[in-house]
Amino acid sequence: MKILIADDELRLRKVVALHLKKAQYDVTEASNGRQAVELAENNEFQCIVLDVMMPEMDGIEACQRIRKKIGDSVPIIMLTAKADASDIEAGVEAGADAYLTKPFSPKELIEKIKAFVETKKDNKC
Amino acid sequence: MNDELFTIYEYFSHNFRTFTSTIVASIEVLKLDLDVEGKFDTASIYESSYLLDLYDNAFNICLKHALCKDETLKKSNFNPLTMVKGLLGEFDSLIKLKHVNVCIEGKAENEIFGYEFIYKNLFQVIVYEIIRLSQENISIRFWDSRIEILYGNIRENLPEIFLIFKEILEKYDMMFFCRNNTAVLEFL
Repeated sequence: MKILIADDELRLRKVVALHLKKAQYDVTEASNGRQAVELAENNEFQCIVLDVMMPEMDGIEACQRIRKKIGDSVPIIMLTAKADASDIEAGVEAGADAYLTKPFSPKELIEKIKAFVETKKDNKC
Repeated sequence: MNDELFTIYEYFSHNFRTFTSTIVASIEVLKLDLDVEGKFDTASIYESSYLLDLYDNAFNICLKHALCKDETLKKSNFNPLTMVKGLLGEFDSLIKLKHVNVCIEGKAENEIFGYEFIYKNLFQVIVYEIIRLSQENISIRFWDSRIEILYGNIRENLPEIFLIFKEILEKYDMMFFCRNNTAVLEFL
């Protein structure tokens, strides 16, 4: 199962990627929004995890572009250090399915991914 | 909230939450025994803890500046390179992970008479941000009363908070500016 994780914080991205790999996901990493959009266009991911504050293109814009290009078939989870209701609203408006506020537990992220992937599977059946 | 306070809040809140996330995720690697190959680098925990402390001091300085409640500090003699070397030691693992080299040039015995607390905390954040954003090797040079960081290409613009740092450093007899991929700090 392929997961894309985009976060400009190298340390955090590596540690979260390790958790996802251990949970048997095939992980692709991106360090900014632009790279995430390109990867999402050219690969078939089962879930995309986007940080909000990233260089070159932020997570909100990346989410909008991904939705425009590949539709809403892939769940998108936003990771953010912003906890304001307006920020969460901006993510949902951009097309995100879920929001996790930093600091988060990778366990929580994996549970969210599992829930979305299972829902997609059920919908297909 | 005025613009300056908002910039301070946004920058520090983002970083506090990010460093805490790294610590939580790293501790869970150990707690869940995910590091079966024994390759997990626990330096991420030390680095993030160090950064939380550093950023808390810098946050305190910025907040006092924005609220016009700057502390009266005493000048002392210190060697600016000692702090930079110490910082690079703390981030040795991150520097390796990023595949960039950081070289330092300057006389170890050169001392400055200035505001060490302000320099130590704000300049460490500056050096850390440049390492974090840098895509090329970094060179840090110190001579007379001037420190230059030559950083080549970086991934994005330097953070807006540097403009607030510049104002604070000026209050404490240090001139700071960034030009042509070089950050300069001069002790006045």
